[in-house]
Amino acid sequence: MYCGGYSPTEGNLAKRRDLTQTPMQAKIHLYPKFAWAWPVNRRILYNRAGVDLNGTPYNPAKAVIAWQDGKWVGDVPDGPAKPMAQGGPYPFIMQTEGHGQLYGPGREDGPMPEHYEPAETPLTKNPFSSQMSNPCMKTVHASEYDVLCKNGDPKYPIVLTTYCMTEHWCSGSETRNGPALLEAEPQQYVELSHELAKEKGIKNGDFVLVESLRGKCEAVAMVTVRIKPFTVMGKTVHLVGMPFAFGWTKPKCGDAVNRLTTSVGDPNTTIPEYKACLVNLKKIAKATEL
Amino acid sequence: MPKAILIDTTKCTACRGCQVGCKEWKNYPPVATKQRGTHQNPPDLGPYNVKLVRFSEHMESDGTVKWYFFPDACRHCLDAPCKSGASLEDSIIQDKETGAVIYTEKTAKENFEAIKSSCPYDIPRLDPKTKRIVKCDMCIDRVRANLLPMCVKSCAMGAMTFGERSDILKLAATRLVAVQKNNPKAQLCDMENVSIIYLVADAPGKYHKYAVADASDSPGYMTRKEMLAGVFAPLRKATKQLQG
Repeated sequence: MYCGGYSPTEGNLAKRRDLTQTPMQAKIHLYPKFAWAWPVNRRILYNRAGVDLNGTPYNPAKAVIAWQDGKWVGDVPDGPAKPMAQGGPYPFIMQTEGHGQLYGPGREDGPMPEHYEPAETPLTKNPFSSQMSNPCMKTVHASEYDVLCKNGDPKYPIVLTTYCMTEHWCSGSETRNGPALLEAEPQQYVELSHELAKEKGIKNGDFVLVESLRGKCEAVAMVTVRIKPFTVMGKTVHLVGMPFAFGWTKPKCGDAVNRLTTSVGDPNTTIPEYKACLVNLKKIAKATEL
Repeated sequence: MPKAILIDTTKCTACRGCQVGCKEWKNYPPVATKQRGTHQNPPDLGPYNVKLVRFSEHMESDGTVKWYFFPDACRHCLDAPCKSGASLEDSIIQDKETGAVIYTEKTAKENFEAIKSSCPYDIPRLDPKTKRIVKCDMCIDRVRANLLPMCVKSCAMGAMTFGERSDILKLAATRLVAVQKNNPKAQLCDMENVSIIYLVADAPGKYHKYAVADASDSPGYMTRKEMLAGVFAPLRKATKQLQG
């Protein structure tokens, strides 16, 4: 990605801080001599799509490039060919047909963006679509844990989201062995709103059991103003959040939150949908995992 | 030339690089901690934690959430009350070159409670093993070797700047003007009296009970004069600490 970024005469081009530009470049705040962009210091991809067959900009007030006196001015042209009227190719040079595309070959879904609910949803109706969740999502059916709640399941009405944290890297399997990091973030927690805490009789620092259709996980309650209940289609929906940095390899720091999450992946890359699933939770007097 | 550090809390993201970096450089042993419903861990400064990021969160009356971070440590007062409160001449010394206030091994012979209660910022802690009184030493070992203090070195956000006091005061004044544009309550905490200067965007008491010596926005506040007289300790114990 840095090929061409270091010149024998000028050195590291990314270190350039020269703000000089032509009046045409000034109109679109283009600074070709400030730093460097891969490839060949081109700043705007497929920029010949901004001109007509003769190389005249469609919008002269905001021209990215223009064909003047037998050469391109403005940005570095994408595909250094002449205008199309003089035999140059279509502007989208990296596509087989040279055209812009809303939908590429080999994709499982698309072409237009759509809002689908996650595989597990607290709603019974998607207000934006007749389709509830992504019909192309990848699911696994390998074990008794590969199950999903029905839409709006009253047994699991709370939305769980999971995330990483600064102190531990990914699942924490390495960083939990760093004593100073474990000291700073020692145990599994669940962040919840004051409203949900009141509803469930949970106080800050209490032990909590979080349950999904697939499993259970213990956590310490972190009651915070940073999480507020949602109102979705007139109904209160509570959100809780847990980090995915803990696991059984380090005793008494809590178990993995992925005992709760779903085994659902996106249609193209099977990236797991760990950002949303349904759970319920209750206060427990004693914890065994913490 | 005296040194100073500006800690611009408006740039702090509470990554706690300073807290962990400090501990690693000083090779302090780990402290067993529990999750207690807050990210602030360990709960307080200690003999093996002389730098601690304090967290506090507030729900404002207009429904907005404020989450404040305060990387707490010794302020290295220009005229340190703990030094005045010491019974031995060389248990607490001030490095002439940097202005760093240093606790030597002779602090083991001092009355810990007397030293602790002389500090308006609640900084000194007792090492139960060595009986020494412990706090930040401005990384005097690193500074003498032309290195930045570990907290400053580890701050990825550029929230901490170390330098000559005169330069830091100028930088602090510039940053204050910039931050005050959107935060009229912004201030530089006790700038005239300390080497570690905190820039806060809101009332200091909303960051930490002892963010400033004269915590007039907190209950039971004392003037600096009263604190120097060492009469505030009972009052301090009577007030509850804010922590989120």
